[in-house]
Amino acid sequence: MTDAYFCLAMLVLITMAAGLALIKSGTTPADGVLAVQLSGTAGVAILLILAAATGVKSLLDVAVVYALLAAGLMIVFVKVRSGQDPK
Amino acid sequence: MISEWVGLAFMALSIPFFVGGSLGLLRFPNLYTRLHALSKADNLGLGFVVIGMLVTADSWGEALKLVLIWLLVLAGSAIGGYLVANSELEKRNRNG
Repeated sequence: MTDAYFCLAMLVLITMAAGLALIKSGTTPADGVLAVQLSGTAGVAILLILAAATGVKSLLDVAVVYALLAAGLMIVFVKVRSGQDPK
Repeated sequence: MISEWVGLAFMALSIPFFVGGSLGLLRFPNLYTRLHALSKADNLGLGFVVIGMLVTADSWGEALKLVLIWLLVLAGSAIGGYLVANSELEKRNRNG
């Protein structure tokens, strides 16, 4: 049972790594932010699966913080970007 | 025991959505379509993981926390998706 959970977490991790490859082959800064947003969502999913696998429920609190940080990141990116561009 | 297997099945359902989201992010031609793949497919996948954990949740508090996580991610990606698309559009309009 636990092994099945770990396999699922591994699969999600692989899709997350594939998405992060977009930064490497990266086109624009906006794409980089998308990739980070992907890693935020997939990271929350991995934390939840690990919480189910190990029974460590405090991982749920970590997932809440992840969700909040991913939302904040997008807002900061847009603010910095609009600040740098000449109006 | 049976509820654990049901939960695991729901979690396994999330994998195609995560794969689809990542593939879309890598393969789609421009920022708007990539944003679409990311914010829809991945959040559905996360939703299935949350449902899978809700089945085996020990208490109401834990279940509420799980739903809160999902709602936070949904709200975050909805707001973020609008902001990123809007700033891209503004940039494009400014540059010509």
